[in-house]
Amino acid sequence: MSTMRGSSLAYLIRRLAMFALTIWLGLTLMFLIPRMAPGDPIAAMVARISSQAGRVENSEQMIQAWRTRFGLDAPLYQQYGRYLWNSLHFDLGYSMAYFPMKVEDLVRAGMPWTLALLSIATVLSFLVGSTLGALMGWPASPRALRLVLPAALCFTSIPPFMLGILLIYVFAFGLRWFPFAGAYAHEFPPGRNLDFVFSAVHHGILPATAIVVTTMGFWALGMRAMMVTTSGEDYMILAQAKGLRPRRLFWMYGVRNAILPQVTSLALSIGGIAGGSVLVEYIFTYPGMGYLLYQGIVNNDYALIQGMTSILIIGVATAVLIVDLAYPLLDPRIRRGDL
Amino acid sequence: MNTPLDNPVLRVEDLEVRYGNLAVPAVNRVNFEVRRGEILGLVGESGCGKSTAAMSILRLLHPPGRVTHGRVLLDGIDLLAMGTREHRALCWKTISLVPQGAMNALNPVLRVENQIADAIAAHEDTRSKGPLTPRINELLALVGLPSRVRRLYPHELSGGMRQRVCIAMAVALRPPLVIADEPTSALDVVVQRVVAQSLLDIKNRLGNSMLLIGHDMGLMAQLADRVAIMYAGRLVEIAPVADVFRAPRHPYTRQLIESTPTIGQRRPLAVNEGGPPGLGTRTAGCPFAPRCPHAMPRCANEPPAMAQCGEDWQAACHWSAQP
Amino acid sequence: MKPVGIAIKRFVFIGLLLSVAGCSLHAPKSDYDRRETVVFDLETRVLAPNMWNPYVPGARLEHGFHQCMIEPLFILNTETGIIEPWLGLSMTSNETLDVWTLALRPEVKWNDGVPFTADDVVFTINLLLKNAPSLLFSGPMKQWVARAEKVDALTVLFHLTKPNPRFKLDYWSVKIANSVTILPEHIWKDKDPLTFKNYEPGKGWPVFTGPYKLDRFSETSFSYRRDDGWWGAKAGWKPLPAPKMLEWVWQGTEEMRTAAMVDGSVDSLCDITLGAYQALEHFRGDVMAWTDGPPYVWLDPCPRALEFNCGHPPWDDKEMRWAMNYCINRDVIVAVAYEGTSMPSKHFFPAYPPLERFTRILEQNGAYDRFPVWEYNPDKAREILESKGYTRNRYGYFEKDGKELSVTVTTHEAAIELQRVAQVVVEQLQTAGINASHRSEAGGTWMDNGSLGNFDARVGWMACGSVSEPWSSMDTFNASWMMPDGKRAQYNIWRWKNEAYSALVSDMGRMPLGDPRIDDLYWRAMEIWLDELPGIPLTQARKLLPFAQDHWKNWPSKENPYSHPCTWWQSTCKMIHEIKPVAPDPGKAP
Ligand SMILES: Nc1ncnc2c1ncn2[C@@H]1O[C@H](COP(=O)(O)OP(=O)(O)OP(=O)(O)O)[C@@H](O)[C@H]1O
Ligand SMILES: [Mg+2]
Repeated sequence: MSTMRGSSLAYLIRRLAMFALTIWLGLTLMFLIPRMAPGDPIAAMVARISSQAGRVENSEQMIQAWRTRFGLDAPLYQQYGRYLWNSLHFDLGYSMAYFPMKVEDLVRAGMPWTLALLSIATVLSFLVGSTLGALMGWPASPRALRLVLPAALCFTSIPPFMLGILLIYVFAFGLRWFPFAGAYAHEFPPGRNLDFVFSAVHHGILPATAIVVTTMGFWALGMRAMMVTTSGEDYMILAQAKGLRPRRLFWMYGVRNAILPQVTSLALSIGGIAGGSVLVEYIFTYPGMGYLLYQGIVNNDYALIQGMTSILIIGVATAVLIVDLAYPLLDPRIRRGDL
Repeated sequence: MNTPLDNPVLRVEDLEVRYGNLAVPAVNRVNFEVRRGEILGLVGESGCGKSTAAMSILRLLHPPGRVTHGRVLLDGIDLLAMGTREHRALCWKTISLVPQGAMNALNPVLRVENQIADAIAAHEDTRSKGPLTPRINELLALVGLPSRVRRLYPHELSGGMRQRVCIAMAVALRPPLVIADEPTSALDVVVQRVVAQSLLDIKNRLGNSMLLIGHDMGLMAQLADRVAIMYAGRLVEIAPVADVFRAPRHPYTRQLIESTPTIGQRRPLAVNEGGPPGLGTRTAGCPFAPRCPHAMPRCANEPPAMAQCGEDWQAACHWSAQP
Repeated sequence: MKPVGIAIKRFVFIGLLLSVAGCSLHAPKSDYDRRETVVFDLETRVLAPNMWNPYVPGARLEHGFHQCMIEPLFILNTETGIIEPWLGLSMTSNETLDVWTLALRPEVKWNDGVPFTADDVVFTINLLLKNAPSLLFSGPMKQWVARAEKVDALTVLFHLTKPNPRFKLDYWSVKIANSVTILPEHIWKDKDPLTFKNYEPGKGWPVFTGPYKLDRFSETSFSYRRDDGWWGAKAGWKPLPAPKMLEWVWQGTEEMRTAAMVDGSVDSLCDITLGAYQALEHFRGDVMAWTDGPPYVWLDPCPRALEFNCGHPPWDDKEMRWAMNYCINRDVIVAVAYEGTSMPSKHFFPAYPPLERFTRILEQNGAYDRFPVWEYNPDKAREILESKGYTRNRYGYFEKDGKELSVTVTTHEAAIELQRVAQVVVEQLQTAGINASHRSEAGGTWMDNGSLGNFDARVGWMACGSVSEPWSSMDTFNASWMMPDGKRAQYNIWRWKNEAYSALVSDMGRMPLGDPRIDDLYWRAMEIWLDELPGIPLTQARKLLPFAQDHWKNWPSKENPYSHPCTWWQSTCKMIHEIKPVAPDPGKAP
């Protein structure tokens, strides 16, 4: 037993080291990439300021002043050092394009919406998709169901953009069941009251549906293949012989085993959340952080890009770490240092 | 030891199983019975249809396999004619299974105790009967496993331990009949003996009947009361194990016995070159004829039927039926 | 146990259904009345919605901030060229154009009741000077203003660093989009203007002089409530504006914005395509635009042009540029890229009435006979190219010394309109035997490449600046702005160096607005410009701005040009006083 415990400690240490390495690599890339991209963020910022300020004839001075303020005139290694140090302290600094807004404040405004919408939609999509896939791959499913389900997945081939517009026209403009834009009704500003919660849920249904419907096919297909494999396993036959209820057979013997590879994909898909949300947020005019990231990239706002991506990197790395650490709970075979 | 012939636990009548549209049934009009308290060995070389027969009895055949004829009577009730629900309620309580290839027979993500409990909970109202732990411990003890095994996952067990867990699970509900499909074939020789011994002990303690499937005549001699010999989907001989070893009536049985390795000496395989006919080719006469040292012209045209050839002894062979 | 389980499941399910249904039946219950509200279109989201400091780089102004809370000193009417007084009464200069006297309207009050005085103006100027060049407008203020001096409570003297005839026009009159904002000294006194957010609802901030106060906002929508104690109404200068509420709402894509107007949930839209406008007209008869019939559009002050880097051969040769000009058919550009909703441009000035006089000067002097900018004449182009030693190669492209005549036209990624123009231009050049191609670049990159001279040709808004007088745009070609490639140029990113032109324009720039000597200088400079043609004017810049008339009427139009119709400019300050409700008494309905 003691060797087992030792190996699981080693496992933990190895995972944590991977976690740290991933974050360092990600942060470093995010330091380099915007700096390699063409376009000077300060020049862009000053150009924007100038265009708003009548006739400006001395923008070169402005560029210099702002460059100094953002520490961009320091040698690269110093910028890098300061950047790493600040990132470790979760000090994301000031946005360049939205100065004097702090990156943190900007992110804090959009993050809850994106997180709520996308994590709920992703989880729903995962659950619904995996369940559909499991039913499709399960030999004992009613035949009718197994014919109907693939039809439901047709939606997967529709781009989310199109589906979003379709949903808006049918359910918002046509039937008027749902509002067509925004995250909550203007009359009910965010707060801890039922009106707001209802309004937020009400606004979230269409965008979430667009995401769920268009992404669940991915989960369904993976799950179906795994389920077919699983249902042929010996333990499944023995379980049938035991006379277990079909439901228990399906969930605890079928799904429980088939879901394992899916969980890993789920952790990785979290990284796609912010990126994937840009379009959906755009169509539904949803105030999430996909738009923020897009703006950061358009303005080449180093601080904003770095801040958001470092949050994403840490988020994904943490999700992967959690899955890595939780995976043994799901799959006992990994539990004692079998790796 | 034998109970009266007219009250068997299980009677298989004219069972015929086909896979898809193949010309020849995988199990071809097989008749046998398992008597109370006995171990009936079902022996035959690989692919002869033993597992198919067992799975039909358990109603676990998967498409394209299907029972095309015959009945499986348990205490006089035809299992094959039952409704699904009805059968499910009955199955593990009446007939349980120790599967072939125990390596994969346990769900990798559930603890041993949960898998045993599953079997119990599916058939009993577990809430009214108190905690299951003592019962599971007892079952594990029955197959010689310590109670800590209860908390382990399948991958933490050796092959022999897994097989014994399967045996414990099979007898959890004290079914009158246990079907053990080659329970030892995946194990090394020493462990084989341990597992075989557990089976025998259990049978002796619980008094259940057992259909023991295998191709090892030595093991059969050790465990079984009677053996049924199968070849290419048909039964060719069925008799008390001692009788068969003394004077096998069917040439195939004889070859099987002669090929059994005994400790200390190795004999070349006595079964003739070649193999049984595949399921795709229909044979007019005795399917064993092409490999039979005693084949007669008649054998090629006329399939021999099972015939009584002694007290409690049947064989299907033109040659041995000759006076 | 079983029935209970099922019952619970049913209960939960029905509950879910009910809550969804409940949501959709949930009628908005608030004091919000659509009939008393004007809803404007917001083109982009506001990522820092609680930033109400108009001077920081992250500031946004066009979400209602400078339309209904900040008031300008003066507003230029681009239709008449008249600068109308607002918070200011007058602003005049001395003979030498280096001292300007500002007289303030006496009755103006901040919305917290504190009088608006010369102290606030002086404070604002000093704040900008102290924080130059980081704050908006602080760069130009630093450049021009040596000192602001309070004469009395309502009079301020601006001592300039050098003469500037356009000081009032450029910075205080909403010439383009906005003007310098005066800040209330009593609020901003001890604040760091670089980080102060100017938002504290408890204290009634932000404090400005406008007739509306901030009500509530999110990243996508901003509401302002009418301040019935507004100084202008109290003093009898103007009655209170009719709308009780103003809103600026981000609607998303053009489809969504158009649908919102069909739906009646927005009264005015920013620029849309002709197709969208036709859809609007189809679904509701009462929409209007700047003109009643085609082209419907109002012209933005930045005409579109095909611009060359005049330092890059072969485009350093004026004849080559003229050859390009002969290849271009502007009517086709208008028809194809704009679906008819724009007009060709002969020069770099917007076609505003105050500038028409200057176009006439060119015509009267026969400029377009000598310099037929509008002439589409591929034969002439071919002649020029052949005289330059170009011959057609086997692919049909012109070639010289084995080198094909090719050009890459770049555009700003976000400017769809310009991309369409570029595509048509490229096609026309291709037809004429020039291997042209189009590349759209990320906004920041495109701007950077422009100011660094890192381009051959681009479709841009050349020489933006003039609205009511010609100098601002003309000066953007002044050789004094010349920078070598790789160095950031402020203006004249085209690197066109012409000393004679520059001298004329510099002279012009020193004269007071309306000085009769300007006309001659103007003509002589333009003669050089047209002869050299450093950029090829293409079309006017169009904005198709629909207004719905079911709730509000008296929107500005070509027939009723009390203001220009762009609702994101500070001049909207005036518009909100002019629009009137359609319903006779919107307040009384149940
Ligand atoms: N799913 C299937 N589809 C088609 N044929 C099958 C299928 N399963 C088994 N068979 C065929 O049925 C025959 C009997 O197979 P079965 O598994 O019953 O043999 P067995 O006697 O149990 O052999 P072993 O000793 O190897 O376990 C074989 O010829 C086999 O090829
Ligand atoms: Mg088998």
